[in-house]
Amino acid sequence: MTQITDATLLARVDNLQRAYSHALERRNMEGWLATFNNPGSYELTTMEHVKHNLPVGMMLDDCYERLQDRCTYVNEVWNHAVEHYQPRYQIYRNFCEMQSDGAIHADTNVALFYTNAGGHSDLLVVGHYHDNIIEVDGELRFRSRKAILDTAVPPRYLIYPV
Amino acid sequence: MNSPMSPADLSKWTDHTRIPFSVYTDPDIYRMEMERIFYGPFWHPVALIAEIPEIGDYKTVIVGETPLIVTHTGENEFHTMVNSCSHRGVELASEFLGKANDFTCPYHGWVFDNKGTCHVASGEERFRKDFKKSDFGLTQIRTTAWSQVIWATFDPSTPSMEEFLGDAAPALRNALGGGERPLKLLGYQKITFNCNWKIYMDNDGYHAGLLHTAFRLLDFQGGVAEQISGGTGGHWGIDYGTKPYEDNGYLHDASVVETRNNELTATVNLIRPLCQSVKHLNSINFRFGRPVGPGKTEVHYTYLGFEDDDEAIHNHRIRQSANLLGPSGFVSIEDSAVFERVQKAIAAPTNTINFVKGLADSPDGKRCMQNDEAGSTPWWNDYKQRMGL
Repeated sequence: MTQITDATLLARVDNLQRAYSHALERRNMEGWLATFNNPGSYELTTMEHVKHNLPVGMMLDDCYERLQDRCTYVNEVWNHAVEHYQPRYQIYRNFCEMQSDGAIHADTNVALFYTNAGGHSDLLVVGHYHDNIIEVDGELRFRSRKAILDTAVPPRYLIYPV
Repeated sequence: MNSPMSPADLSKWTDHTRIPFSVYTDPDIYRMEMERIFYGPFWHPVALIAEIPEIGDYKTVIVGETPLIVTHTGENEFHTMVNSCSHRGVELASEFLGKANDFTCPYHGWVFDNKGTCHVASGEERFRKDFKKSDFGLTQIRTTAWSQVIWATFDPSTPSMEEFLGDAAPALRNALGGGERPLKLLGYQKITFNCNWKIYMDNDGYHAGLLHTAFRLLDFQGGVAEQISGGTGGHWGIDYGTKPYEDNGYLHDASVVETRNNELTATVNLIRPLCQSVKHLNSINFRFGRPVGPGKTEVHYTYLGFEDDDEAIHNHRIRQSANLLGPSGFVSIEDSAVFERVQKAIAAPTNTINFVKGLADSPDGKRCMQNDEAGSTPWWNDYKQRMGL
């Protein structure tokens, strides 16, 4: 893999990552889905799982159809019962490399804050992303996004992907 | 205007089917629960053998408010010890899961083997003359293994596991695959629920067909089996069968809710004071809970398969376990929501949580239907007496 130094390409990667976070901050699950390629996948797990090689983490959408179903859960199935929260993302790209197959591998830190219905704010989770990004029809998309949390025990239940 | 019952008013509490709000919120009640329940005659699950499958493996866990180390020390031999150096009280192990034949205190270098025996007391030549290392082993907690779960109790009077679980034992054994087929650890979903530990236990298990939209959307069976209560403190179990899912087109990927290998048995178990085990579809889920003060409960949803699973069912369990029945699960997220919404509302100026459904047919709550509230009343009857309230 070779480190990407092309400022234009790095800006496009950053834009994709911002589009992802911005969609979730607006509870726009279709916008979230639009950042993924078809086929594409999303996984939310923890460092504890990585350390002990445990496959069951917090969320696992291992195909595009599962990504579509997650949008349905948030928009339709759960909406009447859950206490929604306002997520706010801080992300910081650590490195970005070009793989031999032409895909981009990015590693990005994430700190996610939340504000509950009563207006109280706190840190929800901290971790980093392992992204595999490809270009399709001139647009960058996640072929896979794996969020690995340092946080083993979040302070409340998670509704949305991280 | 009515107001929430204050602790002093609990002397007026007469009906164990109507629970005063303050029982869920009062710090003095919480302290008493530590002594009479968590350090009383109850077995607490501290580990699954699948979490520490090899000799030398260990797990750290908190029961009540006490940090413990659970160690695998020999063929079907396990020890549970207080995770605190017998010299100056320092925590010995800080990893959640690990492997160690001994534990060295980072402060003064005392060394304990994984059965808790003290082997090195650094500088002992200058200790008082009657000092003996053998007097300074780690505090041992009574431990047993039952159905591939390691249990510990602080109270020497706690009865045997079979007596402790009583009529609730068969469903729990079924939830864990019958007890003989070796389980395999797949992973965890750990979460803090912002609710009292009894709210968590009151509001899970019995309501599958009532609360969960996904159960209805997917036309899962629910509400037709019997809750069977028994044992110390009123555990209960439901052992029922699910019909295979027929794709109704609601999901883009319906394979995630398929029941494979004809594993149609489904069970839900509440083990007092703070443990649950659920087997549904092909997902096997053991939930370790612990109270974190009166208003928070930490739960470790622990997912399992079997060591002899073939690759196809292993992968299927992973997909189901990660997506369906956890704190953010497609089927079960409403649990999390309800736990916290109850806790937020019990400061409201009405004063009891009421268990009513099913008592007409089952006044003692020991045999009732799956969605009945009566099944919680044996616990509350025991709790009220045990707490002297």
